[in-house]
Amino acid sequence: MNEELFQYIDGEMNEDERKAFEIKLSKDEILRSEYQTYQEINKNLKADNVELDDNYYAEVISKFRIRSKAEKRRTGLVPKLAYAALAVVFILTSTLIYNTLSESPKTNDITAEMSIEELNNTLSAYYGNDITEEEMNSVETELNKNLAENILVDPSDSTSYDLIADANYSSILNNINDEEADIIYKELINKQFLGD
Amino acid sequence: MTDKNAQDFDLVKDFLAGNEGAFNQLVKKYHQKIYWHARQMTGNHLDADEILQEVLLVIYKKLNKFKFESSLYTWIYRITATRSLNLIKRRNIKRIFSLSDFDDNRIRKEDEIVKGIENKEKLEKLDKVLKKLPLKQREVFVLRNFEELSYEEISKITNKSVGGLKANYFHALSKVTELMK
Repeated sequence: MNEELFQYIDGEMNEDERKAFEIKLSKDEILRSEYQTYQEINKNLKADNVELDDNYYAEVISKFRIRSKAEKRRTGLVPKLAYAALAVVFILTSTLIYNTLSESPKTNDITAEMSIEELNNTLSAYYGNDITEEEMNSVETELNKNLAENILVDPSDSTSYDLIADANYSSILNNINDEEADIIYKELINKQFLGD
Repeated sequence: MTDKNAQDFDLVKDFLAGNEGAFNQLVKKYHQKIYWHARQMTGNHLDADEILQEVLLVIYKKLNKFKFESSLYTWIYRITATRSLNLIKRRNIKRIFSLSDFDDNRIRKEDEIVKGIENKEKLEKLDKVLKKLPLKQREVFVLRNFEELSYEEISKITNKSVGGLKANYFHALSKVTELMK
């Protein structure tokens, strides 16, 4: 897009600039065509005039009241799951990096950054090129055990141990909060798994 | 203080004094704006609906911390923008680990909340185009183009510099124009 046209559309021109540009617009056919295309597109894009069903408000309120009540009943176990999510994603990320770069000379550098040696040993032992479902389950069990015993919780807190041991990655990731999602996301961007 | 702000502030005060009906009125007033912002950011109904619920819960819990310094509208937008970005981030994290339960067919069916075939087609096109924009560009494009906020307002919501926002909006607008041609 022409930068001048952008400034005009964006309302970033002062009075004089705007007038001068409008004269230019009236004379330059290509520029005018680009402006008309933008106007047409913008008209089609605007969702303001897309109406929502009349019942949607009632549905929203009703759903909110149910959730609000459920929220009040939530136990204190969820934050522990959220911490688990951080650790699990760290492990998964490390694993992914390890697998992706196992042939690369960078591998040593990356694995050297990993803080839990035991997990590295476990991962390198289990993760080959063709990992079976059974092996994956075995790794998950090992990881969950490590999480519970070494990283996350007080070993005397058996409730949270069971909770973590029983959880699968998907359910844990469903419970991460915004702050943790942000940390994980930044970590994944740093590791170049996601575009910024 | 504008009339609109004064009305909002009265509703907030009523709610904080124990009138639940005042909260319902706030929901009635803002649910569509929250929904559309979330919808434009995520590109589907189910996520937008989820974000709307999350935002309402945050508002409900945190209205007692509202300082009556900014407009309620800006405060709600900041929550909505943050929640939308974080949901997209969570989706991306799940996608990386192949844990996504994203189901296009299910989402399409939920679009029944929108009236009329023409609107549905329009929305589908909008969703597709916006999804092709990187997150930063999508955010500024939605806030600038649809919500018509100033760069200064967007900067307050996103904590990003005005210069960076302008550059992102320029790239977003160029890309959208190209995609829609």
